[in-house]
Amino acid sequence: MTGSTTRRGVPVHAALLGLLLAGALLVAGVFAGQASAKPERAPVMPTTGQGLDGDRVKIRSARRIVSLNGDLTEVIYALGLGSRVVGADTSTTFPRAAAKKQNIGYQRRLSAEGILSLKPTVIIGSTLAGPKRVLEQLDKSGVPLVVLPEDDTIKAPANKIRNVARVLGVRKRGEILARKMERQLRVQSRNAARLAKGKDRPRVAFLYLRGPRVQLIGGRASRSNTVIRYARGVDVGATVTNRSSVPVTAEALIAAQPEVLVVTDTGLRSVGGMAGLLRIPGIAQTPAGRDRRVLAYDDQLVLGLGPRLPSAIRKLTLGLYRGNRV
Amino acid sequence: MGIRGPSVTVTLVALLVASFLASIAIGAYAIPVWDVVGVLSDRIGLGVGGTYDQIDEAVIWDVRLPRAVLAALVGASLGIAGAALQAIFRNPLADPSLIGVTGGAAVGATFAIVTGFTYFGLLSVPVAAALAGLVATLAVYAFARRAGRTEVVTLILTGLAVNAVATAAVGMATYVASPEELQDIVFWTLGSLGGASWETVRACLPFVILGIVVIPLFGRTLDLMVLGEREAGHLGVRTEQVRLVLIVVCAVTAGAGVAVAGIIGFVGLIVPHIIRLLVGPGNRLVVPLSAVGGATLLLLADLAARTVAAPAELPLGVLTAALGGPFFLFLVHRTRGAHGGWG
Amino acid sequence: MGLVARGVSYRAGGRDLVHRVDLTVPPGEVIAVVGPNGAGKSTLVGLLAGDLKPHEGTVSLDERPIRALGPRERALGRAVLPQQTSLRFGYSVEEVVEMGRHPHLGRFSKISEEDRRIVADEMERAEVSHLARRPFPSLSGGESARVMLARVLSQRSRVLLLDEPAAALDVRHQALLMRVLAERAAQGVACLIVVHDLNLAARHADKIALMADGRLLAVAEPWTALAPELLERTFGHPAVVVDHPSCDRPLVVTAP
Repeated sequence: MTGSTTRRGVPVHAALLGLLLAGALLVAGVFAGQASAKPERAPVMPTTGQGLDGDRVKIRSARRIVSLNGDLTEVIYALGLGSRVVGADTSTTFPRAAAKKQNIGYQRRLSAEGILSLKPTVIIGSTLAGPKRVLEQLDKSGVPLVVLPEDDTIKAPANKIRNVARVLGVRKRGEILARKMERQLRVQSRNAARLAKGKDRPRVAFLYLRGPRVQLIGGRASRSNTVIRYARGVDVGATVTNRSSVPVTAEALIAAQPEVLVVTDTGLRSVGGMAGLLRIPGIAQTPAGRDRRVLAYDDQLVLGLGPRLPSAIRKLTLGLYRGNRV
Repeated sequence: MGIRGPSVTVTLVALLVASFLASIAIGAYAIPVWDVVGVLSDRIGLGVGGTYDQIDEAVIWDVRLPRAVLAALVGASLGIAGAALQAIFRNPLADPSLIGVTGGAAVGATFAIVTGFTYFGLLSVPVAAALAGLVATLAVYAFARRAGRTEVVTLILTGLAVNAVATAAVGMATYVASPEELQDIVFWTLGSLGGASWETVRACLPFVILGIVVIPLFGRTLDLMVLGEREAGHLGVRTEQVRLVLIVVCAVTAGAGVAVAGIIGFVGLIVPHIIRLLVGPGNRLVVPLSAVGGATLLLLADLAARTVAAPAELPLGVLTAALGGPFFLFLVHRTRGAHGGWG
Repeated sequence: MGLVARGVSYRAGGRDLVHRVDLTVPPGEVIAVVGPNGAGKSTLVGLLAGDLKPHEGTVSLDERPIRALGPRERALGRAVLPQQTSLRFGYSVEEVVEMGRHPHLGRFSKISEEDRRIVADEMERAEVSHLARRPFPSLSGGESARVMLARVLSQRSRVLLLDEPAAALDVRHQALLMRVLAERAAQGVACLIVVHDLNLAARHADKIALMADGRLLAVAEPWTALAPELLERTFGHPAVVVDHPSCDRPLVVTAP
């Protein structure tokens, strides 16, 4: 680049400046590379994080962690700190070991004393956690409570990883993991594009199931929409609603003509498996129902926007274009 | 029956104090009793001191104590309102939900959740619930009133209709709610004291005190109301006026309780029955003791709700209904055996 | 003095349930109101008690319009025994009778020894003393009617209005009821009782009021009021009136 500008007669000092800048960037990059090449052996404490209502809290120890949300639990495990988790909410489904930790209740029905009884040194959650009053009680207890911002974009997994890592004193591990994840994300996105090339994009609907009477369809603002789009599917839910989800009737579902249905494992179990799903009015009448094209994934895989997002995209892409079943 | 009054009163009050102390001393977070004493004494300036740390102090002072106080207040409000309403409606099945308080409050809370109403900060949902509860009650009353008189049956039927509309409205709101909002609505309708704080205590205290002070003043009047509306009138009671005052006071008192704790079934219904079983039907005792009994029952139920599945919590309303249902069956059976039922 | 109705009418559903009734219930007398079903007897009691607001005319209690009196003043002036009372809560008989003392009690004052004595007295009189501790809902129809009588008596008012209290009573207690009323009348109480049994009215009432279709057809002492043609006009059914074999009263024998 610099060479071509010189040839066009740009003054030499400008070229030199450019060289210098490039050099500086290179050096910085090398340093950064070196830094990230050596992740922390153990959390470097203390750290600070964003507390309730935006005030900063100081975290002195990451020895006992309570995670208020399933996606964050997954991040903590991915950072290699799983053994330090002493309690996690019911939305935690992955990894298996995490789901076996002390259950502190659903992320929006937490109990302050229950959480404190686990003697955490840090409590980490997102703005999805609640009720607010319980968070306030936790905040008053003096145990550092970190509340991370919610984010439903493709950047969410990397952000979560970096945020959680910083709070838990493993910033470099986080950086490595986030970059690796971002790289995989690019790879999977490219793979998906290659697989989809020249093919009709399948119409996909994400269904949130809770028993045979509750069916919500994921909309434009949903986390499932991100996954579906990156897997190069057409999310028919986005044409149904701009919100994250709405209840869907049999007729609306038939009208949306999904060719593939995506559900979660627990959702599918709640309706009694595949057979039960097909008995729900409207399902069997969709192209997806007729062809039995139903893909079921771990809840946090499709809804978590966690470190497994590349994997979610890969699985869904293969499901959509190779006919893989899960 | 009058002879048993004093001893039953003493026993119930002792039980209330014991449940209250147990509620402060026991919880998922293990704190030695002397530290509990230490925190409380330091906070009220006695300064016994102790080896407790900041978390112990927060758990006791900011979590357990407001929660115990709130449980007692909500239980008392439901118990006393239940007792008064059963007398006013001469109906042993009456409870705060009958006059629309619960239904209205549910609508208020649900819509506050779905519309993201936050004008009153953390108290937005309770405030919306209390206001809607009162509005629903007044609507029930206004519809049931004709030519300056209110017929009890019309009132009950109107209450049913208003509750049906309220249920529909809640259903409607849940239909447009996101999964998270849905969870919040469910959380509210299942009832919980998990969000208790000194702020919520302060918010509902004046209304509960209003009920606890005003309703017992009508003890003997309520006995006459039980005899019948005309009969009470013949004995010198301004029935229409008494009823309006009591219904509004009950709506405000129970509404404040429902607003901060969500829907907690059966307390308003069974507590007065238990008290009557102990001291007979005289409302001069039944009304105040229903407040004491309601407070005790809810303290114990909440203690169970937050310790049985620790560190998670059981929904309080579900627990009271699960325990209250079978007990109520037993009560119905027993009453039928004793004196031919309730006609 | 006593209870006086002047030109009283009460309308409901587009027709007069009570039409221009003039009736005086003076202290010291027992007036029995008789008439067929739907004649307006209970409505009349409601008007006399001050429960219902007449569309025409006035009812006065001791020369003051009854509707202008406060509920407590009314309660001290007149006691009412309604046709039937259902009570679903297990109050004891004694507690129910004590309720009759309510108008005499201050807002926060407890029941006094004097009140207790009166309650015990009236329970004795209505022959329910032995039931004192029984829960009211467990009583038979006749027993609960007597308890309600005791309650109304313990109100110790200047006027007594009784709406068919005798229906559930056996013969002996019917006679007891009428004797108690006579006794009260002797003490200066004005009594009005709605009865179905014409002979009960004939034997015990000072005057009989015949009522049909919302109108008062006659108010007179028994021999005059129970004339066969008047009875037939009132009830639309023929009757024969003979001398009572054991007292100086008429005996009504209805035709088959």
